[in-house]
Amino acid sequence: MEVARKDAGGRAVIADLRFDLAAGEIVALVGPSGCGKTTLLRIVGGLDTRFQGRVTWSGGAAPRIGTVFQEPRLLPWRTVRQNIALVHPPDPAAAEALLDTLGLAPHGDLYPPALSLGMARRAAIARAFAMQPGLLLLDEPFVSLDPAMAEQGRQVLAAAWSARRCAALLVTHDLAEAASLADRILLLSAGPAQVIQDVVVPDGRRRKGIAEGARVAADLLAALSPLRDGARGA
Amino acid sequence: MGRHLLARVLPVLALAVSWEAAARLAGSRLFPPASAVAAALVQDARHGPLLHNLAATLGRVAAAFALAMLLGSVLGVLMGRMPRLDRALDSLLTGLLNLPALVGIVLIYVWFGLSEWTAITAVALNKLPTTAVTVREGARALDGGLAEMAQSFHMTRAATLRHVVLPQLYPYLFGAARSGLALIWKIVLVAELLGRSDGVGFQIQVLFQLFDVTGILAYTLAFIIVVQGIEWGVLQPLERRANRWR
Repeated sequence: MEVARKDAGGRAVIADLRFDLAAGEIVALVGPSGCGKTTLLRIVGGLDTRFQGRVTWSGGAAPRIGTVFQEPRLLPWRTVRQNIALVHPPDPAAAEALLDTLGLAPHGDLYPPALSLGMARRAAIARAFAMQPGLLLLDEPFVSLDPAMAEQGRQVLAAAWSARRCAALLVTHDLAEAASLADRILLLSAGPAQVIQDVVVPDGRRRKGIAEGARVAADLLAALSPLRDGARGA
Repeated sequence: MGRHLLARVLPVLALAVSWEAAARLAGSRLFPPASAVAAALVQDARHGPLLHNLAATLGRVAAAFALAMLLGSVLGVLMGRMPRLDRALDSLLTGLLNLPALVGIVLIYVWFGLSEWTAITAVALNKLPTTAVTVREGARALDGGLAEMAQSFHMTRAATLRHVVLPQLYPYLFGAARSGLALIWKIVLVAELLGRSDGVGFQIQVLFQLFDVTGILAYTLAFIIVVQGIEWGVLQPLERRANRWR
């Protein structure tokens, strides 16, 4: 993935940014808000094609990409089940299993306006997994949830991911969240966005919950203190 | 449910009773009582041309309504989504919107002759611009986020239209349908009065020349019953279905 330059509103939002992502790996993009993280996801997802640079895939063709938008973007006039069934290609058995994993099975026939934000977010995650993606894009999937709901969301996300193992790009401004979900963390600078640090979460400390994530994040920041001014993430 | 029905029926009953009483007091041929109008309605329905005329008018209403809704909606969506087309056609649309119904009908009759289709076209032309304007608002307000969602989940064009776009347009389409039906009922009668030899509009003119107020009121009553039937039997159930999720 290589973005030479992406302009918006007359200024560069992303400049000379490059990174790669292995199959089955979760990479978190962490940076201050407004640094172009969402734009980056839109470029990877093919929703934004007006940029200089390229996104290349090792198999040649792009994998199936499942997206979890920052707003859940469920169709309010379709039930949770119908929303999940609308992805292409549909797979009803997988959809039911996902509803189960994400704790949505009893709410599958509700319309989204009847869901709490936490449930709507989980439904959006279920929908993204339902298309059996090779790559999952997650844009601040737990922002503006209370800590308990967010942690529950992270745990069901990790469970769904372990059962399906796809590559994932997670955008967040919360370093502890990144450290509790990802294999690798890319710290981005404020606009124009660039990768200022690429750190690997130690093998034994991955996906051990938010408390461990916060400790990993603290260790990381201590090690990186000279760079902290550039990436005030957590 | 029973209470709701009662609340709807009671004012109608009250109106009928006071009409009956007032007409009996007045005792004028030009202000017949409700019972006489109802009797005339039944009589004309069984032995007269009422059902034929009503059917003729209904057919024209249906054709003009379908034509205006279809073309108006397509035009509205296109104008709502394409700013250049919108700018090009906007003043034309405003002009058509403000063209008096009578002028449109007369001109179409003069230019294209008196026929079933010119009558239907003339009526549809009166409704088309209001549909286009209403639906255009809906098309402008379409949610870009949901469109992106549909794109990123590889929904087909047909699925996107059915599950993403149309549900967002339903409130506008229902609004256009309801106000459109009301408008078309009225304008069809004018078109019939000017250029058809059957239909409610034609018959009203005949009854007017005879000063047959009972007949006019009987036709009016038949007409109101049909319109209410469509509102309760078709529009409201459809709307409830579309709004289930709210």
